[in-house]
Amino acid sequence: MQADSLLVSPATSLLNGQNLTIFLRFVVILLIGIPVVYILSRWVHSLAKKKFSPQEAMIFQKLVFYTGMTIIVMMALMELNFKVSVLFGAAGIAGIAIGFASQTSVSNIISGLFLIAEKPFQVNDVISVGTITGVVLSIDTLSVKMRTFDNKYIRIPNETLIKSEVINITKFPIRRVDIEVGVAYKEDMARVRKILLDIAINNPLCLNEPEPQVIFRGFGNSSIDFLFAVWAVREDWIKLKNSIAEEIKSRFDAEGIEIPFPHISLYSGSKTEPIPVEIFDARRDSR
Amino acid sequence: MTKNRASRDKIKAIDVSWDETHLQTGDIQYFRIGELLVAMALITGELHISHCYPKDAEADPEVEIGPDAQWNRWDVAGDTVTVRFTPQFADLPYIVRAENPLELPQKTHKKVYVKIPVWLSCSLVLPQQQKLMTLPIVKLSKTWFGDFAEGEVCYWISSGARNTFEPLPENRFLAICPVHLSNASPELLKVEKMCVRAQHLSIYKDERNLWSNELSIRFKGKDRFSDMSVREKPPKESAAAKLISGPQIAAKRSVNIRTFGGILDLSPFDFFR
Repeated sequence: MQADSLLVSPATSLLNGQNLTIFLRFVVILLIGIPVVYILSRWVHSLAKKKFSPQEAMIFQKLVFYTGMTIIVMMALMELNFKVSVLFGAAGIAGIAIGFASQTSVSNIISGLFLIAEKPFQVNDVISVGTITGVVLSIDTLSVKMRTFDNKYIRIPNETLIKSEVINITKFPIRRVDIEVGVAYKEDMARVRKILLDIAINNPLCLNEPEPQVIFRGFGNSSIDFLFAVWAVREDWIKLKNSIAEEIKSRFDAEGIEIPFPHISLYSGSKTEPIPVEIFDARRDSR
Repeated sequence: MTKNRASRDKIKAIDVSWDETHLQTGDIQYFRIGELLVAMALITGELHISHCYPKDAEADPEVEIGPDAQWNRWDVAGDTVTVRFTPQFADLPYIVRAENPLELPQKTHKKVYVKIPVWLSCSLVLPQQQKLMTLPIVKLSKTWFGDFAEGEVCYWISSGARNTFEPLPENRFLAICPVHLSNASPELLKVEKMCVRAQHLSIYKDERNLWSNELSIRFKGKDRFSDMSVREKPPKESAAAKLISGPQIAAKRSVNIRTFGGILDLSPFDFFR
């Protein structure tokens, strides 16, 4: 009997009835459990999307998925008589090591949670971060994905966003278009103001309220400078900016209002005429 | 095809009447009302419509559509069509500034009258019922009603709300809208501008004018929305007027909605750099 038991191989021991049952239960738990967790997390996501934002729905989905997977894996390991408490002990030691190694990732995860709670922007908003401007494609666990207007894909870590100034260009429904206008010193300022306001009234994209404004900026080196500010709904901002600039130019041309080039006049004293400038051909004069 | 339509001899434009008009194959007709000129042509199984806003639409009866005009086309069966013009309010609310700033003490009420330009709705009656297009008769500018963070786009009416009703000289495209304002709050109501949600109003016609049904607005305080309700009958000022166009959106019995705005909602003083 003892000799016989010594001759039993590991493969044979695996295939005996009891072990086979355990192994089959292990496989079944995994084969059924994993798809169930996956389907459950997708269902939670579609339910959550109806009441919460897409980012919050994603968090719920991941929460259900990872919790479910942890339970399935623990059930499967317990089926194999694996002592799960040993894992927790090892996890404590490994946790310290992993904690040091994953500081940045954890920071990004926590920053992501703050971004979702604070909602400085949402998916499909146009934002500027530093020199990057683009549309928010997704707000994920570790990073935010953006598409620039020239169709580049940009990944910005959440930690960077929490630490940086983020400009949300499309948060509010109306936006102001600022046009810097400089006119020659000979022009009548009141007339220029009246013409600019008339241009605003006649532009169909320009809102009556908030009222268009013409603000005096200063007596510049070459021109009298104004800030012409008009408002449009956010979707019409670019169209208004382009159309009103064209209208200003054509109306100024029609009214004879000069937009001067930068220029410098030389005077030898306050009451003298400008110094005349004449170019001589030195080689011709020397003959 | 477009050039053939537009290169004919000048055709005298007919004033739009809120009624039906008939076209036969080969006909071209021009219709004008306010700033709007509409051209219609029936060409072998297709109805063509174009429009423009010529500067002298009212002064020159022979003004015509330019050769670069955009034409819209619909398939129609038969050699004759019947088209109906009806007035309709715009798809956005109107912001009306009070002609003279109005102050309503608490527990008082007042009626004001607003003249609202209507749009022209063009529908096919025969051979088939079909809505064709809706066009503004007067081009109104847009404005923002609300604050810098939220609000809605509205049309701006510069004619103002008047305290008294004056019969209009016969005017085919302005509807008189009676608005009954009441102040049910403990504070003074200062009306600088108000939002008239004409999408909930019907249009009636008497011998001289277009009317809307009466709009009632009950102010409940600065921090609360006002109650808005619509009287579903012709206005008392023209009880015999006939209904020619129903509301675009049926009004509920009473709607709680933002109606009054102050100038400081969008103060230019927020703007300084």
